[in-house]
Amino acid sequence: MNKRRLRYLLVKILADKAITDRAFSLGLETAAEHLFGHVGLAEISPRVVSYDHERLTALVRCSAEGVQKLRATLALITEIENNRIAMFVLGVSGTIRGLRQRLSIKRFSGIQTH
Amino acid sequence: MKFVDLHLRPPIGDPIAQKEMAELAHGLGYSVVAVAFHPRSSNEEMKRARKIFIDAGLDVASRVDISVASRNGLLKELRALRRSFEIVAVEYDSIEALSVAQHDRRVDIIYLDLASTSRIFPLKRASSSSAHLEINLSRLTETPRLPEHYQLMRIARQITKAKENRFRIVVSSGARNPMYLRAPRDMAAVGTLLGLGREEAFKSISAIPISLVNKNRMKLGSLYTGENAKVMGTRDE
Repeated sequence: MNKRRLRYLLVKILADKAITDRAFSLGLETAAEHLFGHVGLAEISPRVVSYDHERLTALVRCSAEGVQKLRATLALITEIENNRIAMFVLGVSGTIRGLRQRLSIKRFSGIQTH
Repeated sequence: MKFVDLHLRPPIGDPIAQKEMAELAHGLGYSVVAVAFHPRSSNEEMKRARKIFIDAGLDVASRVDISVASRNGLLKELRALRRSFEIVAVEYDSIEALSVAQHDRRVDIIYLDLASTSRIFPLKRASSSSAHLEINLSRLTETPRLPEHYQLMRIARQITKAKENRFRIVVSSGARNPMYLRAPRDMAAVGTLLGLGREEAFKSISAIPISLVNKNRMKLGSLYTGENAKVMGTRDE
């Protein structure tokens, strides 16, 4: 059986107030389901691997086929639990290590949240 | 690949907000941004805003958004503003103005509120016109709710119609503050959701807006004399 190909996305979050990893995860799944339905959600299979409260970044895993849909979902989410939110994909890679190597998060750490 | 956001609307009187937007746009990977000014913005205000974006490492194009309902009003604005801005955009305000915008070669961008109305806009670009159709993501992100399926469908239908009429499509953020900015590849992903092919979506945030900015800069330069003709040099008598 072929191994399912995965992609890891590093996501930067701008938010009015801090949001929890659980709220982020739930918000992401709800939005993907709203836009693409159950079948689309299953195809994307988003999963929050880690969530950094200090840097406001999240590492999200999805299927390789679902990257574009996940990007679109992240771009269209504007509110989670009544908090205004904006999300940007900083990078995509097939492995977590590859993502860490390729990205310099430093340049985003100075951005103020609202 | 160079990425362009052809529609930023930062608050012109607020340099701190402008700086924040400029730094975020640069951090997200944009090389060129078009900053929209009010038609009556002073030169001083425009220079100050441009400097902030240039200091952040961005190439800045000046843009003006015209929203006029009457034919004569639009023609008057085009006469007054065309030579002062690198990008001239017309927002849909009436069928009459839309018709002029699709025929006048001074118009670079036409943008419509595609998400909030069910009407089909009569898009019919004249062959002499170089107008592009702009999809502003802010129309979808300025509300707290996610876009509904019928809103996405309306935009997709309008994009199909625009492509049939040989419009080139540009996807922009239309951001008024950093919360409405999006990363270039994320904008392209939304473009694919709206019915653009993957390559088309990438071109709509890179090659198409870049060529528009370059073409207009050449036209506004002193060496431009007309369509497909420019002064290559001068010879002393």
